[in-house]
Amino acid sequence: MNAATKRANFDLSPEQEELLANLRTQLAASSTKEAVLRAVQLATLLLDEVSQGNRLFVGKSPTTAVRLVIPELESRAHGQWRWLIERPHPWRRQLWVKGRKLLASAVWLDAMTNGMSPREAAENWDLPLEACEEIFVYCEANKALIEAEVNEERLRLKRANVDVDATART
Amino acid sequence: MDEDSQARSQLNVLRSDGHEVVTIGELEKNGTPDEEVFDLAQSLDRVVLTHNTEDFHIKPPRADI
Repeated sequence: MNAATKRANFDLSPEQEELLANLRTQLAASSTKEAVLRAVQLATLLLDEVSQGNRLFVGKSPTTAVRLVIPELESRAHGQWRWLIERPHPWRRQLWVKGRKLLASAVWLDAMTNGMSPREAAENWDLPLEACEEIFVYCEANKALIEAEVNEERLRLKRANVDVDATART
Repeated sequence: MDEDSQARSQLNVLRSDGHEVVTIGELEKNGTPDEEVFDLAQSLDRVVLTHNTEDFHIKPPRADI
């Protein structure tokens, strides 16, 4: 054994051992170690892509491909944002505009509704253009989360006997 | 107007319709917690306009108003 190499010992449950055996078979790896290292390389590659703001899609053709969301990768991707930040909230997980009590989606949804460009949105909300460009990229990449949080809010208001739709019509 | 609603376009529409509006930003209170925004509005005898429906809905009215 090379002096620079180290032996790694860890316990595996029977289920974990089976997972590794399956991975080794699927990857046609010559050893469990090779299978693990190839899986690590793949995970690192995907993480690099997501960290750069790229999205992952799966499908048989570009027209039918659907976005693949891997929560572990998405959460790590937050490190890429310069103008957006996480804030503690009981159930919201989308990001906020740094230094402002303003959800990224508030700016984006308003811009979408009114057909505004990032530049127009920046003027409308007194934000730097770069911040608005980032908000647009983030919200486009997290449409499902934003929609889920809109639905969650409606559900909570409904539980509290507030009819938002009726209020909006009056 | 709460911080999540103080877009210039919205402000212009409300003011051109004759509403007397003041924003949290104009009061130099961006970043103020919801509770303080609510208390401030009550102390100024104003309505809070916000997108933050759920968080504000649970706030009880001040007893002396």
